[in-house]
Amino acid sequence: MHIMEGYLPFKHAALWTIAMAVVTFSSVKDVRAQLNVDRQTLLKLGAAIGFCFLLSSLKIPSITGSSSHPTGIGLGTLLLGPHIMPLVGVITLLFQAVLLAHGGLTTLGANTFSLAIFGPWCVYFLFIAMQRLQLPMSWRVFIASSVGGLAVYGFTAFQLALAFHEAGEGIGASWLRFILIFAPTQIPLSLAEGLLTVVCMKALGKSKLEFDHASRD
Amino acid sequence: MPQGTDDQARQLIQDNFPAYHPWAENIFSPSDSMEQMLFLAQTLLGLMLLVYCMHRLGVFRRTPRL
Repeated sequence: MHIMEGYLPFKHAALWTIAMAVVTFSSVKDVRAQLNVDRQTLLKLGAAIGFCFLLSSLKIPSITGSSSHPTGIGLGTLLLGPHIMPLVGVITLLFQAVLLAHGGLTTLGANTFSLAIFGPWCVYFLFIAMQRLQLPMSWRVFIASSVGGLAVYGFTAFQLALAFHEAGEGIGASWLRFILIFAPTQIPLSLAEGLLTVVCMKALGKSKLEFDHASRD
Repeated sequence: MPQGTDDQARQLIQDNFPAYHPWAENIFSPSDSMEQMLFLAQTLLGLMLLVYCMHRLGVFRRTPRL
């Protein structure tokens, strides 16, 4: 899901960066507020960052012959909620942009938006929706984190299509071309990512989203 | 190493939009072997942080948490 350095037109890069900065800033404020409420927040945040670092460092060859990264956003979203994920994502992506030449500083905004804002909210809504369906916990975690990981790539394809489509064709047609690159590689990786998220969540116990939801009913 | 999907997306842009020129370059690009080392460092860092935090959260404790 890394859009390469310089591969978004300046205007797009600037707008994504502004959007990301606003949301990430409020994410930092949320984290600070949560730190005062719950002593374990710092450790959960550490686990979320560790999980995201670990999974996105794995450049895994897929059965299709190309390789890609899992996203690692499921655990943090479930442990702390989607609104803290921009902080987690921006740390991971900054590391990869500066040291690994994966992604870049000009595309940091766009990449953070797909990985750490769009993806986590997809995980959140899927998890909540499945709570209503009363699926078992591990299935909810598995489906929400797998599909959420795929959604990140869907959004990256959308960002690329928005910037790169022929005059005649729509954004949709261009989106299809980009997603067809990502999807075959990403589907098996997403399933693996979902399984790993289930293992970690099982070890860590109940999801915060579950508590939140229960207290609201 | 098989080609990554990130590179395939870049290739698609280069092939279909030859008029577009990337306007920025990575400030630092590691060599291939160094890239692998750095990816490994990221993996280990992430793993250590995850395991340490899970340990502190009591995941590996033998007695059940109350």
